Amino acid sequence: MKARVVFVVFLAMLLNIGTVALAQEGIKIGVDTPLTGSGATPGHLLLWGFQIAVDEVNAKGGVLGKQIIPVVRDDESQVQKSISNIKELVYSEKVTAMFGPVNSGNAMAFAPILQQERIPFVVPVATATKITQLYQNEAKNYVFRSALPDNGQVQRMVAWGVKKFKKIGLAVDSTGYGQFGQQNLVEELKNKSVTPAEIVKFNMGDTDMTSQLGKLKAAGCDGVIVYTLGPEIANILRSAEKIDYHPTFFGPWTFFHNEVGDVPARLSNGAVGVLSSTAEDSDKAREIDRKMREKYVKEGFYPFTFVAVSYEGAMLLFDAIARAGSLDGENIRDALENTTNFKGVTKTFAKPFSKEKHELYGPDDMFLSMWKDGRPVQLKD
Amino acid sequence: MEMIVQALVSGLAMGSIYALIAIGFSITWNTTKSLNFGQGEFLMVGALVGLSCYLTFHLPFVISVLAAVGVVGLLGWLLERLAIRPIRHLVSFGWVMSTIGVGIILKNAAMLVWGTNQITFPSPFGDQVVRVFGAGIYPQEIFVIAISMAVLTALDLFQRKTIIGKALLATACNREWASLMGIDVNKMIVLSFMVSSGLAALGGVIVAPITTAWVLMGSNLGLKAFCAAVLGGVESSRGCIAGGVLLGVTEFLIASWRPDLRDFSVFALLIVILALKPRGLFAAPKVEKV
Amino acid sequence: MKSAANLRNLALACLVLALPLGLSNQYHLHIVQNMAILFIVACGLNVLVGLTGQKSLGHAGFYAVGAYTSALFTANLGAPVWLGMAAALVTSAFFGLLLAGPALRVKGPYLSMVTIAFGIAIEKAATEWQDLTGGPQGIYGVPPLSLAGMHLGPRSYTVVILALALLGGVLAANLTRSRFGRAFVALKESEVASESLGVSVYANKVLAFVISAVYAGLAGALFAHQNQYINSEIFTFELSIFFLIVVLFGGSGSLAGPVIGAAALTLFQENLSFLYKYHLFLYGGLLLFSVVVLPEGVAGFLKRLFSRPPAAGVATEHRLSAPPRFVGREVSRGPAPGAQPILEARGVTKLFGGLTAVSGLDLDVTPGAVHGLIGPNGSGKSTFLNLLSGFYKATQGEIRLAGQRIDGLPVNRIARLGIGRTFQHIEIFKDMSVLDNVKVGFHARGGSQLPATLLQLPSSRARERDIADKAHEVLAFLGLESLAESPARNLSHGHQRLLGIGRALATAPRLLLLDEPAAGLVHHEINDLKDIIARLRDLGMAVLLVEHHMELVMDVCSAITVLNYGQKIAEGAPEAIQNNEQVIQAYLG
Repeated sequence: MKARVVFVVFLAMLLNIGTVALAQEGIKIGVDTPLTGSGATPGHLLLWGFQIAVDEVNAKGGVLGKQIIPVVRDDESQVQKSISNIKELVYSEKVTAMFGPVNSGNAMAFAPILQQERIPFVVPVATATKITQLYQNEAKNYVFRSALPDNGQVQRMVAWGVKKFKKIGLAVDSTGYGQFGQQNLVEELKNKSVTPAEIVKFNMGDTDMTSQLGKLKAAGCDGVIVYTLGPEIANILRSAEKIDYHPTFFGPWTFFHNEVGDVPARLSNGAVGVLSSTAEDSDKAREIDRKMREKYVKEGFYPFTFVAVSYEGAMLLFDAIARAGSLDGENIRDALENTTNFKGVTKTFAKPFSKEKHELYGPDDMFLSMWKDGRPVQLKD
Repeated sequence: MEMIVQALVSGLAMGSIYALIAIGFSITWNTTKSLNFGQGEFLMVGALVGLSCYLTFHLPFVISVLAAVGVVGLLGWLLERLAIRPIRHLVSFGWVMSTIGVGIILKNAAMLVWGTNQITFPSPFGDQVVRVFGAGIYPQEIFVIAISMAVLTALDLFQRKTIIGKALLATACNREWASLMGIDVNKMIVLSFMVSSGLAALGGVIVAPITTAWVLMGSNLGLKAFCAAVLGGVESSRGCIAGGVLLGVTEFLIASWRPDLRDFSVFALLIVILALKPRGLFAAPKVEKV
Repeated sequence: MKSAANLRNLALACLVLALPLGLSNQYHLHIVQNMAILFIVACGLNVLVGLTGQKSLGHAGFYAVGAYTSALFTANLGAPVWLGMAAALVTSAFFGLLLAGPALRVKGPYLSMVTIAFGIAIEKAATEWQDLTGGPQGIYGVPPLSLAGMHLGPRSYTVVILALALLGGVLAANLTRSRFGRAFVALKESEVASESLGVSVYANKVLAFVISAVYAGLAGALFAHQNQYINSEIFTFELSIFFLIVVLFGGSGSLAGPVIGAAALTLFQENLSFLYKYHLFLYGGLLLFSVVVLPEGVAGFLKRLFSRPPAAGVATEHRLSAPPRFVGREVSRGPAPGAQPILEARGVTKLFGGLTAVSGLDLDVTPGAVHGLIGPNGSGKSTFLNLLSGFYKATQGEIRLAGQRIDGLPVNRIARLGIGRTFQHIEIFKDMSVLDNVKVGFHARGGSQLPATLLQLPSSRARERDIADKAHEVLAFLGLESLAESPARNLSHGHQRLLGIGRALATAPRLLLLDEPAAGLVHHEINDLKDIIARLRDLGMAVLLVEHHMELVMDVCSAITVLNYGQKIAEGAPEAIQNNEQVIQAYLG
């Protein structure tokens, strides 16, 4: 009996922690990212890239003399959770700017709140093309992106693919990512006067794609664009071997998710993906990789590109705050749009943004990389 | 043609896993009228423990499997003590919540230990594909089928021929009478949970080389196994085996025809079958005495 | 007394609605909205899980149906929001009916599986059928709720949602306290007894399912309009589990449960989100410990903490001399005593596989008489009663009640035609009060319809008072009046048997089947029983008494039939039976 009373009181107390927003001196940046659930792996990479940038900037005295304070929330890859998080970050925590998420659906769902409240918003990993175009026609668009946008990635891979392969097939997943990807691909291929010889679809979590690949094989496709996430790409590579089918598989930057790195080299050799940078490409890249190895991923392969674009997104934001000279959302947004000579991880961007373009990376800023003996190697085409 | 063979073999392999877990459900259901809704997480822990033993500590595969079964078997003991026994005297279905709760806790623990990535579990039989009738089959899949059948047969013999097995059956039939006959009912119940968890772990370790091992691998597998148990009739161990195999093969056959309708068809089919045969395909009809 | 309670409730309602006006932080308002929406789901699910005891692990399916319906109507078809929500209610009711069909034929884990399968089938359909639902990409631009075309600010929005939640709660409360609520609890406790009282278990289970589906659908629609975006990844199996957990944690069956559950779990999710590495530990731990430490949920625990045990009542020896008037009225509508038999069984045979339980039995019972049915154990007496009341279907033969054939009819129909019975294993509704037990008997006769009940119209309240009065009459007749508010589980064995009779009497039967009513009774209780049976007989009721207690049988019966191995071996007046050689052999040999 007593135990029960204690338990109920404990519960009541538990329900009240966290409601008091800690008052701290500094610049609060909200981070919404999946740390549990299906998007947890890229979610952590996003956070780590951001944190490396934060540590670097804070070590030099912060921005405008204040330390950057990340306020992190796990959205579990779920839409309603991300909306709740954003509302908390905007209305309770009163963050200066927003960073994240991984899932495009979440970004699309909570962008309206940020646009309405005039909170500058940098998207480091979500790739759906539309995200930065939602408010393109308004006087001030508050959404910016450092990730590689879908349409850019599609342009890059199609430009290469149509020159190399006689028959191109598509393998896409059933999520928004795959479906929008399919639309983009078909349209871009059409621009190059090419029709896909076969299009197959599969579900997330499928481990056996032999039936879908069989159709591609029957259609004689020598190049197959795979538009999905790492685990499924890995399973496609395995399933292809099962039916003795050896086309060239290529696709977006998800080709460098951990799971693809884990398949035996004989399966991944020759697979090609779009990238922004790898860990060897510059001194800065090596420095970031070192910090990652020290603190976060002691061993094993990890896709450097996600960390790099998160780092870049964070730096864009901090740089803009510094130039804006204030914590006013509109001023920061304007400063972002006017960014010039931004030093990225591997290259300098002369003027990445304009009123019409809120993407850091255009198709020409991306390159292609091929898996060779378990490592990505840049493809010179 | 190869497609069908492929679907049959892969379906049989997956179905064997479902059967292993489904039998586990059946054992605890019969002895306590409750089952472990977190069984999927037990499978996941088994797979990851086996993975660590095999990859990190470089133990032989067989030892890794035994270690996984042992560790998760102990978890089964813990589950019974924490989530089943305290509420046994209560009627209704508190065990649904409590076993789900344990599953969630395990998931978090696993996340802290093994991270969130999907980890490749290299098969001890290599991942070179074997060709049968033009279809590609992994040696691991054949191993899964063989081991599952062996274990299920052994279990069947154990239940029917050994004293402990019979004691288990007796407890399942009528707890009070079994107790009056001198059977330590509590021990039997603990045993049933340990066996059930061990089976889940076994399933996890042997299927991981096919599906990869990661923190979220358990939910879907556990659910499908529960499906299989209900489909075959959760009270009958042979029904569970049949249900598992049936579910696995059907799933893969549908996938080879229309992959995007696979899950929907499986669950819709289940509703239809249960509407026609409410206690499962292979359950004996029951007349209630009023 | 009543008006004071009403005033209190009204004040509470006003307080709840005024809450948002004190909040300016939009995030806090968002949390309150989430709580209200979750409360609506929990309320409906509580009716299903708490009252009827059917656990559904698939309610995210109904939530999805409601959300998609309203979203599609408003975002894609441009319909006004109220129309979208109305459509959502209709479609979720429809799906509730659809699921109720297969779900009601199964029990236990099979029911769980059917509901799980339903929830997942809906999720997969939403994911696959992308032309309709947009799949994982979802539907954007779902308009927010508006009042008469006027845009609602965050505070007014919250007030509207709270008002809907309040309305839902009030309706659910009205339902719970009504005959429907009683019927739901009755069928959870004993389907057999419920059917025998004229309560159609099937119809009521379907009703409970549909109600819970409609609530979930409404909540889903509100959710869609609140977030202005939905996709297929929201409506997962985990969400169904979450809904169930809200109900179980809060305390199923009570009215405060959903409030506590919805509030607590919403806050829990929001406040602990910063502990992302460990929040699953806490969530899982919460589940585990609340089941073990608080098995009745928080509401149940609080109720136990704050309520005083009901004053122990002692049944008085004094009984009213006459049985309840309404029973007499009903009996007198049938054939007059002593005239034709009211029950005629001809050639009734029942086979169970290879076993012949009853063979070629002819039996008549006349009104105003007590007919005894005796025989050794296993002779087929209880089987025969089950055949009469409809639990078994006769393999051969005919059974007529007042000239009408009743063999093959469903149990609750036979009950409503005028057969009432008690059970060997009593089967009273343990968790209900003694008075409520009897009230269930009035379910099939003269209760108000559902809409009137939900709205608590004067006609409905009048009927409820009538039922209460009549139930008190029954209790008074049996000497259980002072125990009216006690939980039935607290009654002594003898009183429970009397309660079983009282319950059957509430249905105003013309033929009363008593299945070993004297089992376990002590001497003075048997005398009381004798008296009760005699008075009912004198009223003109026909009674078929299955008994082992020979003294009681010989005293009160005018005719006795003896069975052995399913066959009639003797029939006649008590003295004749006592001296019958075959009868003595059957009992001793």
